[in-house]
Amino acid sequence: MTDTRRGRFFEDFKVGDVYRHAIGRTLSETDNTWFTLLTCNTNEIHFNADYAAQTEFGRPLMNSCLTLSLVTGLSVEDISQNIVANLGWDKVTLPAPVFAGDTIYAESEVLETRPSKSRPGQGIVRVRTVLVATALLATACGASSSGNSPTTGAAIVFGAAVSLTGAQSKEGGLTKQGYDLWLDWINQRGGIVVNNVKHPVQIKYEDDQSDPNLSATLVQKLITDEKSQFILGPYGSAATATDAIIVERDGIPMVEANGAAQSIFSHGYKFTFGVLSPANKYLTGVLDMAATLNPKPSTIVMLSANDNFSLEVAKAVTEYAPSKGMQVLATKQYPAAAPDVSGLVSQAKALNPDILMNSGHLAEAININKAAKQLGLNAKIFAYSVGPSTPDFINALGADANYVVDGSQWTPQVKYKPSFYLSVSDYVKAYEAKYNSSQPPDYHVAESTAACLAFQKALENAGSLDATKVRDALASLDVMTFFGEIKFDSRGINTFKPMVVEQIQNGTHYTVFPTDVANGTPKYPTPAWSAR
Amino acid sequence: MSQFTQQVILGLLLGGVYVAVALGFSLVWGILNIVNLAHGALVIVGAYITWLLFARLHVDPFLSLPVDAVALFALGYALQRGVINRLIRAPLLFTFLLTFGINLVIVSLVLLIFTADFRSVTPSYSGNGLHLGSVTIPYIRLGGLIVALVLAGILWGILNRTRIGAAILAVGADRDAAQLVGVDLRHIYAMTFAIGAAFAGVAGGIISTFQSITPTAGDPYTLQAFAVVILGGLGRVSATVAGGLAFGLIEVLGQSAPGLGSGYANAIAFVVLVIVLVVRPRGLLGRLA
Repeated sequence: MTDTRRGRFFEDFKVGDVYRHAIGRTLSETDNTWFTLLTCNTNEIHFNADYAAQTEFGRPLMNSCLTLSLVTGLSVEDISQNIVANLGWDKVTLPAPVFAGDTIYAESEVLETRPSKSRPGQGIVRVRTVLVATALLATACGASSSGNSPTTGAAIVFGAAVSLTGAQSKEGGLTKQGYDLWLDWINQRGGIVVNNVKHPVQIKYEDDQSDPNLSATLVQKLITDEKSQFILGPYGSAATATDAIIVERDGIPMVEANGAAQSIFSHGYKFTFGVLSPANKYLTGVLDMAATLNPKPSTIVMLSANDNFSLEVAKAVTEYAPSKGMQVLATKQYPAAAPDVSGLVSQAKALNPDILMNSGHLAEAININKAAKQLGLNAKIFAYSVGPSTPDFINALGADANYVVDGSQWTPQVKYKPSFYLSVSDYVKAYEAKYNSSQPPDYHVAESTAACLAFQKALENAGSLDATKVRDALASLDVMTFFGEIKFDSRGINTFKPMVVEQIQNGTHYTVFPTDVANGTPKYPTPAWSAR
Repeated sequence: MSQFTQQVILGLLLGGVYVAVALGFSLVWGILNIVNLAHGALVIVGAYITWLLFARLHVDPFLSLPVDAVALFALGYALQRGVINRLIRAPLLFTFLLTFGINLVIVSLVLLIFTADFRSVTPSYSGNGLHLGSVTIPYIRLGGLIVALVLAGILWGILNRTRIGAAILAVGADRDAAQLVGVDLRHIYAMTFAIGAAFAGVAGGIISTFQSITPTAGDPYTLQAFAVVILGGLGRVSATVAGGLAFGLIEVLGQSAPGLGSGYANAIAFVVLVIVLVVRPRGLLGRLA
């Protein structure tokens, strides 16, 4: 008689039951070497550490047949203690690498039970067994033994859906440059140190084709299929808003650097953080600066694109202007990316404002500047929310770009004293070297790098790769970087970093406000078009 | 009042751009029965040629327009002869898909070659204008309108005064009958598409002078061309001219409509379009089918 107290019989299995097998086992290098050589497997990746160090994995891979054997063995007490025979495996997949030191657990789900046709009294059971937990590297011993250099852990996978084609491919490309710049730097140092284990970093990219809805789909794919543990934001407020829904639902932290609309953060999301100053700060700095000028400008006409971000910028100016003794005469909206703005500019000209403002994007800023010249509109200050900070603006407009001011998240001239990563000037050098550029990075690049820095610090502070712990570490983060202070308010917005005002003078960007970080003084008022 | 006059003038100038863009689109649609979704891509190729000649060789943008026309003519002929002809008798949906695909390919190629940087053509006179009292007419835009009207005249001349034009019209009227009297269908198809592409290229050259261009900047113009042709009507050069000027006027005046935000300009333009379709389905000057 068999021992009936151990294991299950055919009648005990019910479709849908899941068994978590009680014991786990830590695989060692010895296991791997012996098993591999025992089975005449000649691939050195399993038993030659020197060889393995030159592969993408960096260290010996556990022999997958050993893992399969182990997972099968772990399942025996629940599944096959009493079986007649194993009829086979119909599908074996190996979705992730296993390394020495990993601890393996397994669980099985009953998929099908049916009586055997050829053997009365016996039945067939089909189960799916999966390996549930690896990880748990040699952290315990690493932490207790004193002064050991960090061991190397599994790669941390970041996902990012940025616009590489479509209307925003320029800005999307800058975003990716910012991410890649940090990626190189951190991997040169072996990765992020989390609880004394160095984790190399991978960033998986998808191209959202400048379509916010596609962005959300891709972020879901990055999380589900590509196993991204953390998400770096896309380009633009619209895409960020849709991505925020996905990461919130999946409980995956996202740090974003290119969505400044505050509406993104008005839903009480817990997993989305923005390193950049919010939209309402974009042009109010220009008003602060204008208030210091003589003679003080007093009237403003605002041309605003009708997207969320631009409208927030425009609304903040309207609300803030009276406190500086200025008045917005009119706010004219236009559809984003409108090719022809001459009608709007001629309306603005009729109002003869001291300050012409545009809250929009690079393309429209260029078109408005061109139309203003053609129609002979000359304000004392031309201030555009987005655009003048990019080299394209100067390239496209030449001398006509001079005297234009903009509110910028960051300029290469700011004077911050970072507590880690690079200084402002080293950052500029690193950028110019990597991208073989004669132009310093614009703020899109810098803010994108800053998002990576927020993640790096939060991971280090959390001492864990756990999504919720990293999320909490982000919420309590407070660091000074080359980009300025990164600290999030309760909504997840970085309200602690100021916007700076820059002006194009003689084809070069100068930071002109606030005075304590500036390297130039505002030139005012704008001379006639022919005298620029 | 002068403000109103200024707006009307700007509307007509913008309308000129729409006329230039829509001429080729209308021709291809009317004769080949293809709604060419790659039209905007052809426009932007022309814009990049003008930019390239201006930036590298300092060629005045208006002098480079013939180069745009010749280059796009060749591209259009090759596209039609090599690719689109294979589907010429297929249902509308197939040519939709095909031209949509061609659009993606061209835009992506332009993106690869020129990157996504914003380009701009700024000749020395680009900021100057004719000042008539309080009304300003930018030279560049005036030049664009004149070129558009010249293009319309050329197209009218080709269609009504040349042998090839007669063949094109014959194919548009009845392709089987045209073939019976000895018209080489494939050649005429390709010629028609090539002429349409050449006009698109010239329109692109004009656009590059007042707007910053990127590889995707042509896409909105496909929609505008579609609207202009619907508004004006199919099958007559004069209908496209009327439709383009009317659409430009509606858009600019819509921006300054009192009580409505200028963000509604597009909505107003398309509401007018729908009204025209309901009241006069063949467009302002279109022929009866």
